[in-house]
Amino acid sequence: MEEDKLPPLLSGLKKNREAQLGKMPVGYFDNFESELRLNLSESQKADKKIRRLNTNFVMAIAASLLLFIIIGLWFLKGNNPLDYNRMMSLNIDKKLQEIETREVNEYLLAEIDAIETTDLIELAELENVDYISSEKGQIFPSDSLSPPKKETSPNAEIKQTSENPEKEELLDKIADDTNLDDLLLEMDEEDFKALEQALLKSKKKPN
Amino acid sequence: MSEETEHKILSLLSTKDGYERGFSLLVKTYQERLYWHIRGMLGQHDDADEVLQKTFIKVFKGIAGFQGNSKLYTWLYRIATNESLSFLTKKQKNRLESIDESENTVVHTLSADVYVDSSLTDQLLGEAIALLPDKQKQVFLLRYYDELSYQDISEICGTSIGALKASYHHAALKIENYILKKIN
Repeated sequence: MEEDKLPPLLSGLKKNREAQLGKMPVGYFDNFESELRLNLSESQKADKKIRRLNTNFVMAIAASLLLFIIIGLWFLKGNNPLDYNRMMSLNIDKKLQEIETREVNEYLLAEIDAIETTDLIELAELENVDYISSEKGQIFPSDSLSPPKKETSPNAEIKQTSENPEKEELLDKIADDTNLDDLLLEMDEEDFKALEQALLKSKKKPN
Repeated sequence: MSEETEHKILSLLSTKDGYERGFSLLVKTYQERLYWHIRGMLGQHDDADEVLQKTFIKVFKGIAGFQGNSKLYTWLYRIATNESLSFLTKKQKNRLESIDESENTVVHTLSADVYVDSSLTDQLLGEAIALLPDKQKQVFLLRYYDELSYQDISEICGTSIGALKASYHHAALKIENYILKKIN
C-alpha cells in the first residue's frame, strides 16, 4: 500500500478501534447471524405484501379507468352504446329502393329523347310505362303510326286512339309482357312496317 | 479478504444446496470489518447494530444481481457506507439544532458512551473523527483503520484517487489540530 504523510501526532498513535471508536459489547456476534436470518425473513415477507398491494392497487386503477371509459361511451352514444339491434331495426333497404326508383324515373324523364326507342321498350318492361308516357307523351305510335307527340304539360294523359283498339291491346301487352320478340311475332306485316317507319322517324328527330 | 474466499462465497450462494453455507461464510468473513466501519461513521453501538443488520439484509436481497464488476468487499463496503450516510441524514433532519450544538452533542455522546474506556488521546481521536464531515470521515476510516488502497476506496466512494488523497490529508490535519487544541 502506498505510504501517506500523516501528521506527527497521528503517525505516532497506535490504532485501537475499541479505544478510539467505542467498545463493542462482549459476545455481540454470537447471535448476530441468527438475528440476521430472522430479520431477513421478515423483510422478505414484508416485500411480498408490498408487491401484492402494488399489484392490487394497479388492478384497481385499471378497473376504474375501464369503468370510466364505458360510462363515458354510454353518455356519448346514447342509452346503450352496445345495442346492435337498434341499428339492425332500421329499414334501410326499402328507403334505398325508393330513392333509386325516384332517381331512375327522373333520369328517364330527363333523357327520354336521347334514349333509343328499342331501349325505351326494354325499359318499359322494367319500369312503370304509364308513368313515363304520361309525363312525356305517347311513346308508342298511334293508329296512323305518326311519330310520338311530346306533350308540354307534364301531367298530360296518354292519348290513346279509340279508332285502333288493336294498338291499344298491343300497348297493354307490351306493358305486361317482358318478351319483345314474341310481341313482334304477333304483329301482322302491315303493323310491323308502320312501327318500323315510326321508329325510323323518331330516330331522325333532333334532340 | 482474499479473492479465493470471495469466489468460494459467491459460488456457494449461487447454488441451492450451498446457499446456507455461503450465507454463513459471508456473514462471518465481513461482519466485524463492516461493523467497525459503520461504528466509526455513526459513533454509537446501537445505531451501528441497526445499520449493520440493514446492510446485510440489502446484501442478501441483492446478491443474485451481483455481476462481479467490482470486488465483493468493495460492493459490501459501498452498501454499508450508503446505509450509514442515509441513517446520518435522517438523524440530522430530526435533530433541530445549530452546528455548535451538534458538535457538543457528538462529543457528549461519545464521552458518555458506556462502551468507551480509553486514554485521553484515544478519546480525543474518537471525538475528532466523529466531528469530521461525513464524506471525509468515510475516507479517513477506510484508509486509516481498514487500510484499503485508494483504488478500492475510489470504487467504494465513487470519487477520484486525487480527490481521495486530498480528502484524507485534510482529515488527518483536522484531527491533529483538534487533539492538540484540546490537550493545550
